Amino acid sequence: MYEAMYRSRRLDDAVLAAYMEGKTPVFHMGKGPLPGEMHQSFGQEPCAAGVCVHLGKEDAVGAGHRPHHVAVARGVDLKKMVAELFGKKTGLSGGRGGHMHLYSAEVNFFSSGIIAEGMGPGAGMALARKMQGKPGIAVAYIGDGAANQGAFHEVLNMVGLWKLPFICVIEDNKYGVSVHKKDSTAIERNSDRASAYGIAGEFVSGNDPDLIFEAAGRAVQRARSGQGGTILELETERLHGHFIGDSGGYRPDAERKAMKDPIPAYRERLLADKVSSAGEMTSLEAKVQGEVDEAMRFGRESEYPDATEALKRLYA
Amino acid sequence: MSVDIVVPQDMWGDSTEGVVVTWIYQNGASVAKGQPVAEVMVEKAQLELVAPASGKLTILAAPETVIGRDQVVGRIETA
Amino acid sequence: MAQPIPAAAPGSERTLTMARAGREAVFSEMRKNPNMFVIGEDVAKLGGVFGTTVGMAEEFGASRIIDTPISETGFIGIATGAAMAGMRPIVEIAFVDFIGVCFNQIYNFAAKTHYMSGGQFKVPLTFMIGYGGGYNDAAQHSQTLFATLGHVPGIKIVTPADAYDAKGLMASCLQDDNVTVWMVHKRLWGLGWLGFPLPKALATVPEHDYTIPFGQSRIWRDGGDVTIVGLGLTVHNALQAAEQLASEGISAEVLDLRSVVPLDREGIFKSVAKTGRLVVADEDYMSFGVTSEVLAVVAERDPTVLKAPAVRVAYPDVPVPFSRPMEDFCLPNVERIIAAVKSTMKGKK
Repeated sequence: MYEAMYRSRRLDDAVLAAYMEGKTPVFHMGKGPLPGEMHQSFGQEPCAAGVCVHLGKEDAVGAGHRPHHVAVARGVDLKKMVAELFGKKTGLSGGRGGHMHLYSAEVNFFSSGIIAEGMGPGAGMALARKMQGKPGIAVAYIGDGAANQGAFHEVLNMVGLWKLPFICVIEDNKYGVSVHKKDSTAIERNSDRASAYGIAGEFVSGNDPDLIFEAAGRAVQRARSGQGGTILELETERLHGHFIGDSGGYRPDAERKAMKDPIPAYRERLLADKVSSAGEMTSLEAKVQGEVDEAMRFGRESEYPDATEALKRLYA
Repeated sequence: MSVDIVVPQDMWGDSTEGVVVTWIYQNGASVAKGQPVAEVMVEKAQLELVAPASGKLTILAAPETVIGRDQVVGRIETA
Repeated sequence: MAQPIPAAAPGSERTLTMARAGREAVFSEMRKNPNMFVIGEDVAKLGGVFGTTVGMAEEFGASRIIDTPISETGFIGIATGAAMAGMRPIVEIAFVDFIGVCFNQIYNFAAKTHYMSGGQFKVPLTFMIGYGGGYNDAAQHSQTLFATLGHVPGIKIVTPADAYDAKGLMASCLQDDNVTVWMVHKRLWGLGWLGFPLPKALATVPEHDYTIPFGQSRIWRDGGDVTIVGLGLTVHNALQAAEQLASEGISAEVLDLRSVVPLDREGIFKSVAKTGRLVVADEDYMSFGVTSEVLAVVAERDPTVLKAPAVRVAYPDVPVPFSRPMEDFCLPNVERIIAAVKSTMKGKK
């Protein structure tokens, strides 16, 4: 789990640096080697690592507009993913998709930039497995803000009705862009909504990878054993802005100061509990950093697609 | 006498530069104290510079000029 | 920031960005009409993703500048009901792409209610929406979708190309008793992070209120050889193309539609009848789009005015690709417009 979190973090660090190339001192979203919006995962890594570690090849995962940590934890090919961020022809979709629209059929992974949009397709992947008598469950990641979309409620009703092997992970970072959850959501816990749809609901506080791991294990067990769906609501932190360039001026200073980075804390715990030695940790980190560097190099150095590729792949 | 239009200290965070996006008034226009006279950008945030006095505007930093904190970007000749 | 805009000193003209000019019309109408309110995501604390509502929460308070949950179907339905009950809501949707989430409320209910009720219920509801690409935001945040909205009877749609029109068209929308949509290309807002303001999108904007009628196109440049029809950002591309063409001895007229619905069919035909050639530039998908409708105007009235086949420079019928070379290839840029004009000029001379 630490490895997945660390890999995501080092990737986001590298992406942040590359994204700002060509964008300082004048910030223009379309400039530099990594143009467009860029929603990063700083602080939310435990939500991906603690859940995806339970999943096998037969399972499916859908992420939202902030997909990097989930894609990494799911094991999406790092080089192809980074090449997609750069819009290169070696990318997952040959440069057609971009950072919010990452698709990797080899690990049953997709992401989408419209809020709550992964709910239906995620549940559909669960339905397909059930109809085909195949093993496997589906997990859809959304944010707390997405729980106010119609798709969330409509899909969860069907998940309950049809007992689909489906987990809705809500990453509760408390903000939908600038709007705090208390100003957008009628109840404190979205996991409480589960009872309305006849599914299980669990809330995990503290952005703690081990607690997330345990709760996710229970949800996965329910899905695999035919007991149906779960809302797994994970308290987390959005350490940076909504996207790069958002300075988060709408957040109170005290709240910003109180934010805790889960990765160093987890590292300390692993060392204190003697799960890992400092030497092992350092060599793991060096290995991961090497992979990220290699992926970034691959993405940067790959060629752009031919412009006329834009007109291809519309139909099967 | 003349009053400088200065980028305020507290306009943005540490070690960041900004940029002039546009001037709302032309060089030589008369402006009134408290009116927004220019839009500047820091990272993705677009902020206003307000006329510190009433009078005739002289623009010193053209649009697309990178500016720093405390920089004088314009001047107002008071009557 | 965030203070009411003080009156200008006498003898000074203001050059405004489109975001500021549009905002000014909203401020003014909101002050005149206590039934008007703004509802949408990130409109209060943030002031709108594209700065459309900066300063409004401070002046009008949280009861009239309403931050919503991410619940477009819900709040557009709520706005429609409020409009039917005598309010005048302004709905902010940052990206036109998001209408996909809530389109039923827009096209099956809001747009049709006046008609279906036999005129018993009015729906004075204005959307302000950003659209367009060119900054690599990919398939779900770069679309234009004029035709998607324009195809549905009951919605009026405007898209200004400069700050003067931004204010006047916004005022027209807010004073209208129907569902109106004020759409601005993201490149034209005048926000630095989407590119510095285009010089011709900045304009002298009077302090006083004024309106610009729906369905009235604007000739930005007179010409005798060819009419280039554009709207929003493609007006600016057409103007640049016209300048280059002038240096090659081709005189292009640039016509800005300003309204998608109602469309200025008279104005389009008059210009094409004069020049005898037609190029239409639009960033929306080509098929079944604005460009098709403009060609239909000429085909229906009198196709014999054309000295050469008309040419469309629109978005090819594919989703917006992320990668820069692919997106650049698809956009209706200056080069594509020039090439289109030249193709209509073959055989002349």
